[in-house]
Amino acid sequence: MKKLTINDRLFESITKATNDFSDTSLDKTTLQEISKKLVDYVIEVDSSHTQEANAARSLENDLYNKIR
Amino acid sequence: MVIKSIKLKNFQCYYGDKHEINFTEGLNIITGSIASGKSKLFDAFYWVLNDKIFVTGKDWVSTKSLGVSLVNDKAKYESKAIDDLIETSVEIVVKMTSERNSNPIEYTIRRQYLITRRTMQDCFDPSTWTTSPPNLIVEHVNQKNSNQEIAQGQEAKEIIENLFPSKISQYIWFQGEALDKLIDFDNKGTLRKAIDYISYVPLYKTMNNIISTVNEKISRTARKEVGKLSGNIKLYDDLTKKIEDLNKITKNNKQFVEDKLITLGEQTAQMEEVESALSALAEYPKLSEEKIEIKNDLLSTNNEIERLDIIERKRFSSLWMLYGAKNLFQTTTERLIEFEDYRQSLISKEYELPMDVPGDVYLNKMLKEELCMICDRPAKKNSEAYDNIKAKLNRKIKPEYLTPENEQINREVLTFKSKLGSLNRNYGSIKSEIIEHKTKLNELYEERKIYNEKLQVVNEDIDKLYTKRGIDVSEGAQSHSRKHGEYKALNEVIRNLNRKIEGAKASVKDADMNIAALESEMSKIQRVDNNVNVIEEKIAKYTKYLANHISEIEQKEYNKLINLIESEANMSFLDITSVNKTIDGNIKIDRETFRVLNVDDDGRELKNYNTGHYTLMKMCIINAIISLTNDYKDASYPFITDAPTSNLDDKATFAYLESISGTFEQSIVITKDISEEEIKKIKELDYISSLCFLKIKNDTGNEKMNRKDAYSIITQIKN
Repeated sequence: MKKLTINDRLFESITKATNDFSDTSLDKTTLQEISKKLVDYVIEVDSSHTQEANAARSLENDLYNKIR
Repeated sequence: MVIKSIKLKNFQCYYGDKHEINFTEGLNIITGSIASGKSKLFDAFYWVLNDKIFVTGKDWVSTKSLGVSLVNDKAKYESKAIDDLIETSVEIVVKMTSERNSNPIEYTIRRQYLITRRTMQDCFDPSTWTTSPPNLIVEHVNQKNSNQEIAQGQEAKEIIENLFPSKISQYIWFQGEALDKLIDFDNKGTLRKAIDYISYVPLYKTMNNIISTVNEKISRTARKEVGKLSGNIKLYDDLTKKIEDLNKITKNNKQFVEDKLITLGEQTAQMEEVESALSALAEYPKLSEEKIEIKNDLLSTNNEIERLDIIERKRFSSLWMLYGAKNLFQTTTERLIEFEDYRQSLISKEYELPMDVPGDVYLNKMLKEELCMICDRPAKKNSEAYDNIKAKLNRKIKPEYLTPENEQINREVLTFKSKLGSLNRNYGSIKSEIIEHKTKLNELYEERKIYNEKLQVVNEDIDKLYTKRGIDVSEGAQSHSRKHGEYKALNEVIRNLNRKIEGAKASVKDADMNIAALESEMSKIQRVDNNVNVIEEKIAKYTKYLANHISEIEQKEYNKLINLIESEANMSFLDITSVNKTIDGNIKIDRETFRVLNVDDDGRELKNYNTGHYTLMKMCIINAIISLTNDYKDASYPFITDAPTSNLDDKATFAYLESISGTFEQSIVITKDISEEEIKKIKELDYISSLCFLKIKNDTGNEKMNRKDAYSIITQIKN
């Protein structure tokens, strides 16, 4: 069995907490993609490669590209 | 990550450069008797990475402070000339495997310390040597170009920090003695701090900050863009302004709550210290009184011992001598009795007539019959024969030894004989008196031992008041008054902070409700063109949804992690305690205070803790945290500990070792708990991957080890 990475665990905790986003009518795939991006940025911030504000800007750009 | 080997050169008790241990994955045991170099080996591990070692009573001490004491004594002693250079070094090879890199990277970490002889004075005197700052080198092969990369100084430190993050390393590399400092169950913050250091739970806060920032910005842009399409721009702008103001208030209040919570945490920690100090001050008089009582008891016991031991010893030494001469005196008495018998026999001979002389009875008969019955001739009265017979009457032989002088000596001998007789009768009582004395003295020695042990315990308790609670108890009332003042002030500050935090939280809640109401009102305003798609409005729905959820997840995940730590710690605790009936109960982490408790099956706190209990609970909690960290952080760190089991019995020690063998990818345990005789048996245990035995020796053949010639040797028994 493949060992879960921190990214996997963080992402899993988001989806599990919302029961796979079952409490919203928003698009599940989009929510999953945003969550994955968010988790990646958090890991980057944790490893001191990026600052929080820069991560927020990058995520904002991703959101514009993803949601039209 | 696995430590492959360690090499030591002239490091403390390791003389020369022939000391190397190769490690494997799994449980590696290093054992040896007292003073065989076990703790020095742990020091070597710590020193190579951190440039410092743990010294009992001094805490962590740097190379600079340690100076030449770090260098092997035999090597120093063998130096015979000025400018002699001695190198002390420790080198470890670490194999790093990660999912990102398919090939493992091997890092060789070496710290070197050089000293040069400047005078020919005492080689153990630090002033005899000139020292250089330690040199740190980290080497590895670059996987991209296969070049050997060499890092020194700051760059090398950064690689080490990357391999063994300093916040984590204290939990994975520790000495049994430092355990109390590391996990202090009386301190509410200990566990929280440990979790923050080694779990990813703090990442949720970062996640929340990022998504909230995006949500705030996108929502603001969305309102702006939607406002342009509004059928009632004035009302829309009005509502937007109100929402923006409320958002500002909410943001400020949230920041305020966050800041104040940090301050509250600091103040609460201070308050705990003050409470602890106050309780220490309250404990001190009792301990002090107990100490005085024990000292008084000890003093009177010592006086009694002195009286019995010194004064009485004189008397008993005479009695012992007397008792020892018992046989001599008994023989003398027997001889005197023999002498007296002989004397009496001589006395009885005093009146004995010679064989040729008849006795008085016979003579009187002869006189009466006027006849010599010896020659059978007549002996008429007044005849010569008659007179001759009469002259024989009352005739005694007086022996020479019955002279008055001899009789005087005989009387003295008789007195001596009677004294010896009474002495013989007293031997029984002398013996019982001496035995009674010895018994009493032994009882007093035992009593003194108990008092000394009690005194040591009280002294340790008093010392703990200072070291653990940080209070100088000698200041007494003055300190109490100051601490009480601090307590009152902190209490007031904490009450105010709590009030302000609750106020700010209530404002946030109110503002959220007002924003929701305003947004509802805003959504009712007709748009001039319903076909225009505002992208930010759409994005904001996602960001708002995620921002709300992630703030809830942080707390949930934290609680989940506490549950996992508790459950994992209890699994090890159960394994270990199943072989030791004196330790029981379960580990419970109080969710409010984060204190770690030992409870029964019904959750009631057990009060019969002892040092072994505490140690085991702490070890199990650490094992659980590290095990989960390895799991959570996608990293595995080698677990290295010195003397973790000194408070446990043999069964619990092996149960503990078996437990950690299954917890960590690699663990290196340095322990004195395995005797030389047990090694053969242990070698066969499946869960022990490698086994090393340390021993102190010298080349002189002397049994007594001297710092000039003694050194530790490593024997690899299983690998």
